[in-house]
Amino acid sequence: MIKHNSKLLPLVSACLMGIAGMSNAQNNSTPPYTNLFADKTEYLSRDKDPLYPMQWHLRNRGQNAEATNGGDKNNDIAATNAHVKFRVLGESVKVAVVDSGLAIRHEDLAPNVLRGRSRNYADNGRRSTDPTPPRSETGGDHGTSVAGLIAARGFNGVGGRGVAPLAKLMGFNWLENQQYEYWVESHGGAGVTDDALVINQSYGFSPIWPVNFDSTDNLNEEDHLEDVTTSANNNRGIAFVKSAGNSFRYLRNTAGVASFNINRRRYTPDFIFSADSRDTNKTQAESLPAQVAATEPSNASFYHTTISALSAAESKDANGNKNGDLLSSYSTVGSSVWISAHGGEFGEDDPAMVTTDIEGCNAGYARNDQSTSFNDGTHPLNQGCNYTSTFNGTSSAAPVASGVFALILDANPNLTWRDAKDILAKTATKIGTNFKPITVETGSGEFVAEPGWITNAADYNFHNWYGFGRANAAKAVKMAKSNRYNPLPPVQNTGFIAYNGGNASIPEGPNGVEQSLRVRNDLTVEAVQVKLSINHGRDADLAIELISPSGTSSMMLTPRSMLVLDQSSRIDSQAANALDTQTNFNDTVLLSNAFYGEPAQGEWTLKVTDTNSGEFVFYGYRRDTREFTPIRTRNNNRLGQLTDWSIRIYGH
Amino acid sequence: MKKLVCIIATLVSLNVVPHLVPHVAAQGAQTLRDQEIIRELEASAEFQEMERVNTTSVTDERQFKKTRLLKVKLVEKGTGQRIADELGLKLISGKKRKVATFKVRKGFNVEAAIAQLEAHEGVKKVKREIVVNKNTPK
Repeated sequence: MIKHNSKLLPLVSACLMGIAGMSNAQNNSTPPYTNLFADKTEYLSRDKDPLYPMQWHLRNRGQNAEATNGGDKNNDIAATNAHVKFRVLGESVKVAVVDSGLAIRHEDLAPNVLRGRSRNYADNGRRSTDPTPPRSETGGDHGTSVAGLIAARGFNGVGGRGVAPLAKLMGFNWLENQQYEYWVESHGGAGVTDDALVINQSYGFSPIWPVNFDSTDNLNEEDHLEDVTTSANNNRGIAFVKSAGNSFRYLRNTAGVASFNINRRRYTPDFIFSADSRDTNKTQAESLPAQVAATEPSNASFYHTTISALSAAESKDANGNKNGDLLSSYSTVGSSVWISAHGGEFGEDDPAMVTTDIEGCNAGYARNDQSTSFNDGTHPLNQGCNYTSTFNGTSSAAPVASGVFALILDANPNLTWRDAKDILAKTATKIGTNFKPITVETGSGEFVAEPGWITNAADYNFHNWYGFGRANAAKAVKMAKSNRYNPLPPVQNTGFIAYNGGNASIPEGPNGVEQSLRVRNDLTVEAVQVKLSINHGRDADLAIELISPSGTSSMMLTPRSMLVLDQSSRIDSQAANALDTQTNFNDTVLLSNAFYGEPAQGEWTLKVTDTNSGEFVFYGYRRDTREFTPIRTRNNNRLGQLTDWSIRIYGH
Repeated sequence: MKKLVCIIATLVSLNVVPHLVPHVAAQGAQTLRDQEIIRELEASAEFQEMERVNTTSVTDERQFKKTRLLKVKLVEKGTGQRIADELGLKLISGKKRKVATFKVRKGFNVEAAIAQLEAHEGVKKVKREIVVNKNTPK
């Protein structure tokens, strides 16, 4: 036992205070990370990270990143001030990358990779800790490129820089073997990823049917996510950051589940393209998406933060005026998008993302026979083919957002994943303000299918394409560090509150059918889910809107979506069983973030509209023939029926 | 073919063709649009992933791999651990929940475990996991 000498206590106390004071004084005089960069000039220096000047998403000066065209100046996530002014680099945050793999010995990733913390599920489930893809991987390793966008090591003299250049990485190649047991382990599983503060999910699937949210598969995942987002990391939870999808133009016919009758022959496309995607008279700013994000159930989950993708430059109309379209040409969109971040284009005409790639010129996106000079081993900054300039997708947007999450959570260790989301919404930049609403002709009048920007009753701007806007790392970190930021109270939800008024027919035409229910819970809204059951002969005709007690309207399902399984002439039973398909909306859940900050209490109105009384055409595409085949469908011969709906509000 | 596309593209860009042969111009524009979207499709991670598994059509890529996991809807919340212990199964998730996932230990028959669960009064529905690898890089 230690004996105290009470006479010495004041002296000890004074000494300790003095040491603390000295420590503070040091902190005040020497900003963190001066060993990495002393000031902005040094931070911007090519010597620190040779590829950093190409990384337009961090600091857009109009550079082209080896593409033909450059981007728009300042169309970036404002990483510079987050790093330089606030000196936040993500060092305290662990990020799990759930993907195809992670080259853990890559020269620009290895310093940030946590040793022994990754998992390889591909090798007959033996679960070694090395998910490095084989060097024969000619198509590149998606996960390795994703990881570089989050946390390529900064200021080490090689490669580029991640958004959180000192964050710690773990890699899980779950996409190679998608068993639920491995999903649990890699998504917050005890002792494996439950100490990650951010889990990046640059993956998804694109159902061509309205998915049942209450399937055992989905409920298992939802329960697990609810548990770990509330309990992990001493109740800070985990931010699950999810790519919205790359299906603005087309969806994959997963497992060949749908076949169509074309000229009396069975036709099974590999991909299904929307009519708008092939319409030469329409720009993207005039087109509706093939996929609405929330039709994938994980994008309709409160526990995922869904990210859409942005290009380096805003599109222009025929007169050369910016038309409000900064969306990447492929990005899935919808009311469940939280914010947008950069995913770029394809790196030939317009810039893609510059990031890490499998090392060597025999494998990866960058390898000997590639068409762009940066990727073919001849570029002076990429002679080893360890990097690529053609990576893209919402797969890129999600890790950029994950990096910003890591910065926020590093800036303030008291914040939860919901606080970080809240900060992202509050600090996002409104973009594409010239966007004009998109209408469709119903056969008996026009219908506004995509309204564009709305301002809700809590004064948040929201757009189905961009969520609350473009991520702004500097503003987010500033708010995270501010004493004036009030963290959110614990989350509550209302449970599903059902409408009990009976069925309703859905008339053809722009007016639709409306039903209302009352919510009595005194909550401030964070997100709203609608669970629907609808019998309809052609799901793609349907538009679904929800109107809040404050009068805010959110288009939760835009029409002309490629929910076209109900038009197939033959559904493969084995695939249907494995995928839990259905052709009607049956306990299908959509989610909207548009009501953020509004009061939950009051009357909520659902409006369902059948927006097409004529023929509806979409296109099949097969890889073997490389041809599009029109699939023509007739109008539903009976009026659709809204049979059941309920809403669940998450809030505080 | 490439030359034809280039000529059409040039004429379309110069706004010459519409006055001469509108349908040719429209066809040319359609060809260009289709080429662009095919190029983008083939550059996508999802497409490359499909190519990587070396298939010619999605119908050949199925895996439908059955695992030893059983996903179960329970009659009563929080009974997953008790049922797992009772039947000698490993609880993977859903300890406090109304849905749970069990793993049938190696050496034990999966079909027999399904039958036991289906007969159990605390179980509403049992589904054996079939892995489709439906998620792709995005």
